[in-house]
Amino acid sequence: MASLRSLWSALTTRGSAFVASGVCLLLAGFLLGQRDLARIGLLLLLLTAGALWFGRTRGLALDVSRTAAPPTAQIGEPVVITVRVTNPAGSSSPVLLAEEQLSYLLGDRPRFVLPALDPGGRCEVQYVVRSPIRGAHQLGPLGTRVRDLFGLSLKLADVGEGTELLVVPTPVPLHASPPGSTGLGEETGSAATLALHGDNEQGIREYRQGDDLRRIHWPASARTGDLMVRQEDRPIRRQALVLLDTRESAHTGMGVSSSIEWAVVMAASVSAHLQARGYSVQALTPAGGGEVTVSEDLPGTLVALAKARPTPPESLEELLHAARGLSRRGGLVIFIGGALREGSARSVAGLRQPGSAGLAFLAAAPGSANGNGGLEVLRVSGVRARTYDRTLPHADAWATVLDATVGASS
Amino acid sequence: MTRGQPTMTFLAAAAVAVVAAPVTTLLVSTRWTRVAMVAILVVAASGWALRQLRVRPGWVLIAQLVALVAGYLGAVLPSTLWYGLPTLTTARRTFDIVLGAATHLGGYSAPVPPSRELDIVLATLVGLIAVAVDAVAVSLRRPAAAGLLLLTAYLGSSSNTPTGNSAIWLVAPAGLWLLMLAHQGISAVHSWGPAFHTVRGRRREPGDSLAGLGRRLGVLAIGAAIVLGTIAPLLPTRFLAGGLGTGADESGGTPRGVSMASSADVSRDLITGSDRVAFRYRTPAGAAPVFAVHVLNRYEGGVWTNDRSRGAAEPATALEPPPLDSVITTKSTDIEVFDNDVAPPQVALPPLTVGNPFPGASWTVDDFGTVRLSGTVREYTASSLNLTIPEDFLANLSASNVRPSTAAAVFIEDTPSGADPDQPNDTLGRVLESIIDGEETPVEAARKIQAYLRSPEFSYSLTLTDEGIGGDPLLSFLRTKRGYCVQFAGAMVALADRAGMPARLVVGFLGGTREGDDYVVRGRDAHAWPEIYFDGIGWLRFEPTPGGRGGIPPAYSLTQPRTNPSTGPSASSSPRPSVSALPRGERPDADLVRPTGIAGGILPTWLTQNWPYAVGLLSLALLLCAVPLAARAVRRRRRRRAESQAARTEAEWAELISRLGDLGVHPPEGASPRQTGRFIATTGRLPQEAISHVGSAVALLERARYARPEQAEAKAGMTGAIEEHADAILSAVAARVPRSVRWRAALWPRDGLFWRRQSSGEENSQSR
Repeated sequence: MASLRSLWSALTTRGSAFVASGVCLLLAGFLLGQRDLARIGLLLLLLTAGALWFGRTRGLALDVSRTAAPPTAQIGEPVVITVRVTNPAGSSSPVLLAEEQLSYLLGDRPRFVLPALDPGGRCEVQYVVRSPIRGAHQLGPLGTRVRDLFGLSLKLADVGEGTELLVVPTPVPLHASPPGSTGLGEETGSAATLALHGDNEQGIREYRQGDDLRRIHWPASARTGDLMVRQEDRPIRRQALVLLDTRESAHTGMGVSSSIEWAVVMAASVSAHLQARGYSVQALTPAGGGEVTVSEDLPGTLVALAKARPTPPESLEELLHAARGLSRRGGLVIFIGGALREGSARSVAGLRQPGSAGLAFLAAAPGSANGNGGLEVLRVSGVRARTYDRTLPHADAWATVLDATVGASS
Repeated sequence: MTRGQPTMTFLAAAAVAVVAAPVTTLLVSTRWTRVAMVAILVVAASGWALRQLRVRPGWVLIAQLVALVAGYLGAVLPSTLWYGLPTLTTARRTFDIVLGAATHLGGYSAPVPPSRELDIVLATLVGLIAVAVDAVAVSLRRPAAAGLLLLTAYLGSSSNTPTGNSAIWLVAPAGLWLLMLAHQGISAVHSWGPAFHTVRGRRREPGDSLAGLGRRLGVLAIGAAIVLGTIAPLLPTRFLAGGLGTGADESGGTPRGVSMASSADVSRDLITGSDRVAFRYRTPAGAAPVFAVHVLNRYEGGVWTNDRSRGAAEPATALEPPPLDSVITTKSTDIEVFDNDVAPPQVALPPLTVGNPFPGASWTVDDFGTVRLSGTVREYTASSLNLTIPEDFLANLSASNVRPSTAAAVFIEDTPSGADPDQPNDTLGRVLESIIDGEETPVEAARKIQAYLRSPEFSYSLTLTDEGIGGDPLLSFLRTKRGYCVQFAGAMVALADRAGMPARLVVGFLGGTREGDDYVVRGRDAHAWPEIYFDGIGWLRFEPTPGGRGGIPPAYSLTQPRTNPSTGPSASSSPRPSVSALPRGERPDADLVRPTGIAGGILPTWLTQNWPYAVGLLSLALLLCAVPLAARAVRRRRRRRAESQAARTEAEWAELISRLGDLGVHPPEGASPRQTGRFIATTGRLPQEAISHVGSAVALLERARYARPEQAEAKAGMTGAIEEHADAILSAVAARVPRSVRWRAALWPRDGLFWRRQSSGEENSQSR
């Protein structure tokens, strides 16, 4: 019964019309004794039955693989996708009308006709896509339809697995130099000491008034006879932490025109800019599901940024939690994200270690005071912050944020 | 090139041509085919050219029709045109041509002799089919649907031959039709996208492998359909019957072979005919018109019998030709009969058999000329005389003064009526008076009676109407005008007898079906016909049974044409389907020559004869109206049931929502009135004015639903009802949905379908 229904469903409208009229004609021919009616009825029925028989697909076991050149593409860059279809089965495959199922952002779905493949036969199809926006775009699976010549039967099937095409954001060249780190407790903004031996190297110096007694280095004191204290150097490493906040609720706009896209490009640009200047950049991107991706090289950063998607509000807390561990060693902290509430802003500001600079780009939330509140808190806490909207050129944003004032406004 | 779709155009034209081809088997002349071919070519060429010029399908169709009509007018009726435009005369002449063709068809059984009118009508018909097929298959790209048109055209010829068309005629149309489908299929594959080739393995073009598979499938399907369709056992063909051939043997014993009943009951329906072969024959001159077996010459109580007392059989050695006038030319044809299975003593002989057909057997002949065999004769050769009688000789023939002893005696119980002494007071007399005026020569009178019975007023039917029960069956037949050969022949004998011409009823077989070089006569070919006696020539056969179930009327029995002044009323120009002129052995048909509504068709006649169809159509129409009517009733009842103003508003709102649902706007269940209103406005993409109506309706509903009862009563009365806004809203929504949805909403409203569920749901909501 079920197989009968599946047979019937494999028929097109034309096929079922043929069956219905075939049965009617055959019956009429039989009852009226009209051989011609019977013959035509039989013709319609046999034709449809034959179409179903020839069109049976037996699971359509085809291997489909895709390669993209280049594997990771820039926005707007043409990517050649090669689809290889192999027939591993022991029988020939039917002629397939195939349609590659693409993310709609990649444009029209390419359609092509695959020839009948003998056992072991292979066929290669190439097409070019070009994405207007960054992202991990879906390629495949291959939607296929098997039809017969007379259009009586039609079978639809998805063949093979889909893959992803990564389109990374294009960094924008930024010009102004990043701010130098400020030494601890000094106002000059120049580096005080440099650790030459690595992160955890310690120097020893004479005790000065006010030093923490716990820091006295007793072996050295014994050796020299003077009280000596450990001096933990804060090595001025050219280090930067880039945080991308992708909370959907904090950003404005939807989809391609969302301020998240601006933030992603800014994050990419800043990462590229800083890395070009010898910074070791750690970019933190929410990966969804409570995970945060930390990437340390530019290609990795770009891939992580390409995959960035709007996230729920809790993602900010996760991001900050991941950042806290990394920021302890100081360095430039750059927050790029949506509008912040005061509380969140305080957490962001807390990431900036004394002596290092903090920058923040907050999405302007029109009609909402929240963004401004966060901005104010950041400024008071010594973070150079500004708001942005999608139309602001990234280079301008970078240049102006460096000139931003910190401290409480009068 | 592809815009004009040359391949599809060619296939469509070829399909029409081959589908019309079997019609040639029904006609003597193939003259019409040349004109039809020209029509098909004109249609195809103009269609291709116009499509090439990107003319829209509707205009292509119109242009093709105009070309066809222009061709018809220019070739057939140029003199009636006024500056190239058709006039009233053109229309009248066209009607005459159609009527002439229909009458011509009604006068003959297949193969039909040539007629100019018939040629014109056939060629035009083929041209029209070509236009329709071209429009559907090529312009509208629906080759599958065009199959329906081709099927209709094919059945037109197939249903008019008793055994159907030969299977071979189906191959070409079916093949071409499948080619059309295949061509569309290949185009669909090509238009899907670029084809890629195999990198590893055999290189095969996708279109080719699909086409190869399709070719195999098509050939297999056609072949299997023809073989299975040919060997499959079918019920006997419905319109063929031969009750006469299944009667019991005279001796009362079990009939051996096929034998003729010695009587014929006029009031009985013909039952299913027998397929048993009576005999086969071979002749150099084409099918014989009839084979006589015996003669019935007494009609009484609705039954034809043979008056035995007058038929004393004498042993005979030869059949003598009747004494014929010298102006009558005769031509002898030898008919070799073999596989004879007609049970002795009966034997079937063609009319005017002379000489000794059974040299090795003993046989007798009686006064009626009926030959009786004493034993089985499997094979014999009968020499039959074909008479060519000059028209002026016929005109001078007089009915016999001396009544031949074998002439029929007709006893009809008729209740005399009519007080007018100038009018005949019997039914036969009155009928006869309407046919002849008494001034005719006997031959003319006989011709007129035959023409009357063959006229479209009468129809051939194996079943008799119930109206016939009661009075004399022959008189009933003259009233109901429905019957089969026994009624037609019997009526002609009775009318001729009433007119003073000696007549009798002959029972035998029709000429049978061609099978290869031979003809086969089966039990179902049994037939009855009248003979009328004239001095100087003897018994002459007439053929009053119309259409396919009658034999071919002899040339002398047809009224000479007067309508066509170009051909004089000379005997030589009269349509003469002489036996030798029959080119093929395809057998008579039923529908083709049976007078249908084309010629004398009047709606009332159709209605009285086909009342079951009329009743069926009427009930279908009623069924279609039922749903909308039920919907109206449900809505009215819903409103009537509403006791308060608030309930009334609710009912009106429910009706509005339901009708919106019919138009495809389904507000979410459980939404507040305002949400629903917003939904309607956005989903229905309503204009501002309609949105304000929605707003008013929502306000009314809110007031009815949420305001305090006494307030609601007061206010609702002031502000009116939802009903006043519903029409504006519905028409605004309807303006934006496809026409099909509007029709469905009008003809198939949900209120009319689910009234039971809705009314119960409504009660629930009211009880809450």
